[in-house]
Amino acid sequence: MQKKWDTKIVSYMGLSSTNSFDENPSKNSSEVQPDHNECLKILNLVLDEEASPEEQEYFKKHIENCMPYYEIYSVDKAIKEMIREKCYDREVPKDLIDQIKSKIFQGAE
Amino acid sequence: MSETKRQSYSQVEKERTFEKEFLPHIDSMYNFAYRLTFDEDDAKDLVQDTYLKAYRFIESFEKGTNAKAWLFRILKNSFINDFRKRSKEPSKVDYQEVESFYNSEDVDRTITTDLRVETVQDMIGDEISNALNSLDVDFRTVIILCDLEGFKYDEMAKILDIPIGTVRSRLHRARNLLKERLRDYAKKMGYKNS
Repeated sequence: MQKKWDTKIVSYMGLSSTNSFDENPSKNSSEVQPDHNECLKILNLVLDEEASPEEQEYFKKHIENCMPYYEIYSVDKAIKEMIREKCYDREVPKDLIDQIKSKIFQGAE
Repeated sequence: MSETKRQSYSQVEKERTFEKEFLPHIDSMYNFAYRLTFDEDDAKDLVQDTYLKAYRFIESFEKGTNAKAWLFRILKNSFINDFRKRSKEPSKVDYQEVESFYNSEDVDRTITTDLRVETVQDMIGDEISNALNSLDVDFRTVIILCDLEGFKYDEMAKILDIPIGTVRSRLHRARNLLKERLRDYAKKMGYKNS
């Protein structure tokens, strides 16, 4: 399964390998086929709600027709959600606030 | 953030700002401190130190701006200056290398990660948490700031004193590394990819 995927992806990537990171993706928005490489660069922006409306539209258009990219986006999103749910696991020691306050406000009146 | 004009605070205002704007972030601060130091006492010291500095330098906190970002910046600086020196953390990542890597084949590499949504969702918290903890501190930090604390890229740039482009590339690299670790876990656990 993985091997097949890789081959397919490699052939996609072959279509566009020279775009620089900061190139404005909206430049390509008039093209019929969205650019896979460009799309991958926008993925994090969409994931982090940092994408412009044009970038979002561009991305949406792309993943609607591209299963591997839809999967990548879904996995990244699932990981982000899991981090938010599972990595907030430390309780503040009960005495910490009091210790801080007493250090700051002793004799401050 | 650091170039902000000095603000004038009355004693009452100082105390109110501290209580209402600084202290409510103590949970996030402690969690961040623990994930930087992996030690409860160090995390406690780091948070305490951050709050003492925040109060002492409250005039440089611009009223009405994001207190959480300001506090995180102080905590991060305290960690680098006071803790990192004496800790056993490996040396800083060479970001030049990271960025040139990012601008070439690393972008393509993302999509070869064969993790599936179901696999990720089946993982219990420990796997995600351990994978995050296993990352180099600079990569760990961007994921914590972005995914756990929900900071925007411009806020992260200010907290970390780096350009937004570097925030983006570091985050991208961090996520790829995290996925590699998760994929390793998944393999060990015998998850199927198909």
